[in-house]
Amino acid sequence: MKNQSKWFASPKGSRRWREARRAYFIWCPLIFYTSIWSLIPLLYGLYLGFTDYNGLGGKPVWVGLKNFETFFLISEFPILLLRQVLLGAATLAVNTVLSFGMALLLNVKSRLKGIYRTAIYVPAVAASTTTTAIWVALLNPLGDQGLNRIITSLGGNAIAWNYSALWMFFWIVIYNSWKNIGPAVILWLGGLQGIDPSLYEAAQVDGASFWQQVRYITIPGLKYITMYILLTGIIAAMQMFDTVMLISGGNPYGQTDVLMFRIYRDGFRNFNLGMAGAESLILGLATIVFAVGYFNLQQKGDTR
Amino acid sequence: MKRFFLLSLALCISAVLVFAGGRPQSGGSTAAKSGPTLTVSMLGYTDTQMATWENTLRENRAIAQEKGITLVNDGLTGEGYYRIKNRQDAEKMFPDVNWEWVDWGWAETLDTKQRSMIAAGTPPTMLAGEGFFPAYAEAGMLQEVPAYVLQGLNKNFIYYGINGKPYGVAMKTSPFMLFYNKELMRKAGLDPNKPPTTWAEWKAMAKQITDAGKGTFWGGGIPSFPHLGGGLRATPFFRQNGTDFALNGRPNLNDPKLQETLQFIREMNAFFPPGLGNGTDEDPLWKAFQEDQTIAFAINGSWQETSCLNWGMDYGVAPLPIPSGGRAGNCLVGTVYCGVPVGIPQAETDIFWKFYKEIGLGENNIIYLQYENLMIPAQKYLDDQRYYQGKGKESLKISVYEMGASSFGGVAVFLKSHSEVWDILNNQVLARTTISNDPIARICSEAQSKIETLTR
Repeated sequence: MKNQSKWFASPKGSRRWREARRAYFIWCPLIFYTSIWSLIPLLYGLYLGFTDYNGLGGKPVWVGLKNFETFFLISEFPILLLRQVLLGAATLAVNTVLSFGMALLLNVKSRLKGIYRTAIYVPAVAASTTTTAIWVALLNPLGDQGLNRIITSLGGNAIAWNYSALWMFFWIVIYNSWKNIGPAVILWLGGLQGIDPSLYEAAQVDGASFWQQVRYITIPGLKYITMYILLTGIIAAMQMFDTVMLISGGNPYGQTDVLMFRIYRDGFRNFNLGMAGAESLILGLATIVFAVGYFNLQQKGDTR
Repeated sequence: MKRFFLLSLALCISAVLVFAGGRPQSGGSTAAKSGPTLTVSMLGYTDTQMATWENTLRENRAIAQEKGITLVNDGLTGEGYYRIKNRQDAEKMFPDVNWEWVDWGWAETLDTKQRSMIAAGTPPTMLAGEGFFPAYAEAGMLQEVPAYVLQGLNKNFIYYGINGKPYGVAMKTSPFMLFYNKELMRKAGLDPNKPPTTWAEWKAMAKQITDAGKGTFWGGGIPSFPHLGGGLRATPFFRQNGTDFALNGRPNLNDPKLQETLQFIREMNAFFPPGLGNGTDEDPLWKAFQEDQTIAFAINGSWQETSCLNWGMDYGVAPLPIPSGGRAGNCLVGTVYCGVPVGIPQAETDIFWKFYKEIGLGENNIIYLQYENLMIPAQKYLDDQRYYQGKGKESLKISVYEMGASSFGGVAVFLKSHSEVWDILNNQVLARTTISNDPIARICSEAQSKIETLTR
């Protein structure tokens, strides 16, 4: 209290307050913008989860937990959540391993380094609608089209990709990894270049092999980068829907459908805004549980 | 000075962030008139579209004059010509009305836009749609169509709600029919002038063609796309067998007749290359039928005839085969229903219906009949034999036959969660029937249970 009155009374305190006021003034528009376009719609969406509303005439009708009951009564919904987690986990695992490997390969002195890095990053900035259209064309089930043309020319039988949940799952994971590998590689590279080179020199002097150096120097040195990539990867995995929508459409007969795609369909095709709100809340809570759980695991590891 | 600069910067950022969204696109005349404002989609081109077409028209006429030829509709598509003429005639007939001609796309885009406007309390003067139109009617969003508008119209074009009242009128539609490739029939040793008339004949012919093709061409079957494209094409066959997906607005999946029809759809799928008749994307099937010409039989609306002609196919058109003991049955496709939402002032409602009846459903409507082979509602034009003469009019004759042989409408309507129920039917009933070998009874009972829980 004494310090506070000193702070207000002193010329230095009032200058500090003036500077703080200026800072608030500058980021006030951003808060205003975020509240109008993000926070209020988010809260309204959560409210809709407790209502029955199709956007036609009248106001949302309060139905309490009915939408949540529907979610757990129809087995399909929890399965969609589980599939979101599995598909997301598979994509994250493949993407993390591949991007780390790519970063190790790119962490060399080469004149063409810039070209390779650009090439790896291009899929991340290409529009999903365009790139998925190309993949869908490659996955044409006819024997003389797309990948099947290569398979049949090698003497194999054409594969009806859209008949197999396993194949569609595979292609969704591959596409997502291909699309998102670029940003992860750049982050890994940044981390690799932050590791003190003298550690590697010392390890070489002690006779450590390449894999030993990776295991005992590189990986520990990238701990915080790894944490960031995995944490943001978990959040992205729980939001994945455009790939599913554009490549498999949730097919065959819903076997690659995920909760996020279901939320989109309930919200913007079926106009069951209440159900979409309830599903969003459940997915959001699940994402928080995974993200916080992973973060706590990391923190415990640090404490040990 | 610094404070003033920072304050200005903050205000500028606020203004840019909040007001950066573009103005909604308006297609109306810029000078306000004394009459009411009518917002109309699907029936007239926007200002931008008019300008584009006027340029195209000038170029086409110049080319035609240079080459000494006459272009049909000055080289414009039937759809474009219809909308241009509607707009010109409407602005002449109602010079005091502020017409807002808008283009909100089709399907989900149109549905989303219309619902957003309704939710915001500013509904447009008219609502248009096909698969999602019933949702508007059953939610009580639409006014009844005035009786005078319905006079002289074929009943198949009128949308009647579950309560039996009329809520919308379609400006165009088509039933489904069977298109067949005569050359492939010849190659399989079949008479190309004797298309199948029953399910059993069709199955036998499709098998014979597929066997003869040995993987290079196929008989073709009933598409079971995992979206409404599949549901629309399967519906005629349920109706022929005396059943449908819905009974009194409730799911009807445990009906043995329905399951029998699904079994037939599964058997016919064997005459498609795997993945072609039940893929998410319809285009490979139509490409295979009309461009590659490796599929003998196709189920589509009357517009398919134009494609067959354009691709130089030796084709035939026939009514859909029916089951033994069954009856003619069909489903409308490509139907653009138009209705007026509740809450629109009477003056605007009256003007819209007068415009739609006299212009949209008047002589301009003939453009669809003449140039796009689509059926239109005014019975006097449908009965005029002049429009059925000449090349490429077989599908129109079949359409007239189908409309006379049976009474039908669009797809089945569900009282609750109509779109979600159809999502389940298209994906987990139809597509699952042809993709998997799961027992049909199990497929149907699982879907029935899900739908009943969803709509409880």
